[in-house]
Amino acid sequence: MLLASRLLFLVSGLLWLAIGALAPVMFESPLGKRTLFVSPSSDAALFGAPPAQLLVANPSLATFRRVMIPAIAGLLVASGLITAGVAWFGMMGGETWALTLLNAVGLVVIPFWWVVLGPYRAAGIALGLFDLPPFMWVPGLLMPAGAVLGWVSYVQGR
Amino acid sequence: MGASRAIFVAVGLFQLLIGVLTMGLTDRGIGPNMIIVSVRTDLALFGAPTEEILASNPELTTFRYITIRTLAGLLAATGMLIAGLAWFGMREAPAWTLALLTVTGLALLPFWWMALSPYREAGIGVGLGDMPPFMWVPAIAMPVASVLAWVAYMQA
Repeated sequence: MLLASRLLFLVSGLLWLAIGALAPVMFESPLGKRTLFVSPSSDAALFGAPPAQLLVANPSLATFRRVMIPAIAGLLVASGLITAGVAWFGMMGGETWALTLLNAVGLVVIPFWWVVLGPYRAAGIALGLFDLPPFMWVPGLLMPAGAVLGWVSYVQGR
Repeated sequence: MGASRAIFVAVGLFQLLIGVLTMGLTDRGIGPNMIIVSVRTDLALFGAPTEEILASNPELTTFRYITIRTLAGLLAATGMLIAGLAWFGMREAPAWTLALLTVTGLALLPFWWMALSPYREAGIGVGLGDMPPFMWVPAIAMPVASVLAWVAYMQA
């Protein structure tokens, strides 16, 4: 059970790492320009036009995106590296601090994601799970499961 | 090792604090005056004062709202991870803890380089004081802390 918990946190961390590493390569590609933040259809509904068109018509938006996406990507890489490392090495010996830290990180991002998606809610745009960026929804599912398995394993181990 | 641990914890708490404060201050105080870097460099890059641009560009305003808060959430998460790993993981100072903090500090640098590329391409000089502190503080402090930690580790 502890191994399953470690693997769930490890996958969450590696996903953040992979998305962060790929984002600077992908976001200027035709595929990357189909979205601004969530899915192409939801972004088009919020911003009033398909993202690829907006990025051509609105140079300030395109420039701002070129600054922000690498900055967000860097933090995804940093978070991913430490999450994966703590899950693999820190939880190996059943360290309570490692599991507590990973739980705290999983919880701390939730209110931020809620606020981030506020403009979509305010515009009445329904967002399904798969509309959300994977760096939000995949750890959002895996981390709570990893936390439950981890604590059950820790309690049983005592 | 104590100094190194203290620096990593301070960097982590600093990132966490900026992440939390960004949520509340982006649209208040000096927040609306800058898009991402400094007032001077943003004016040079975007061609008009930030408040004017945001007032006339609703798509940018909405995208800024979303991405700045995403950045804030990830700053809070990264800060918590760095501080937690340094505080708890470095007590016994296993090599994996030091390696992870060292790699994380170095991994951020190319991303900050890429994030500032629009300013470089426009010929706008970005000094240390222009950069957001969440970029330059870890960029300086984490390599220093890593060197101190590895020296202490080798001597132990």
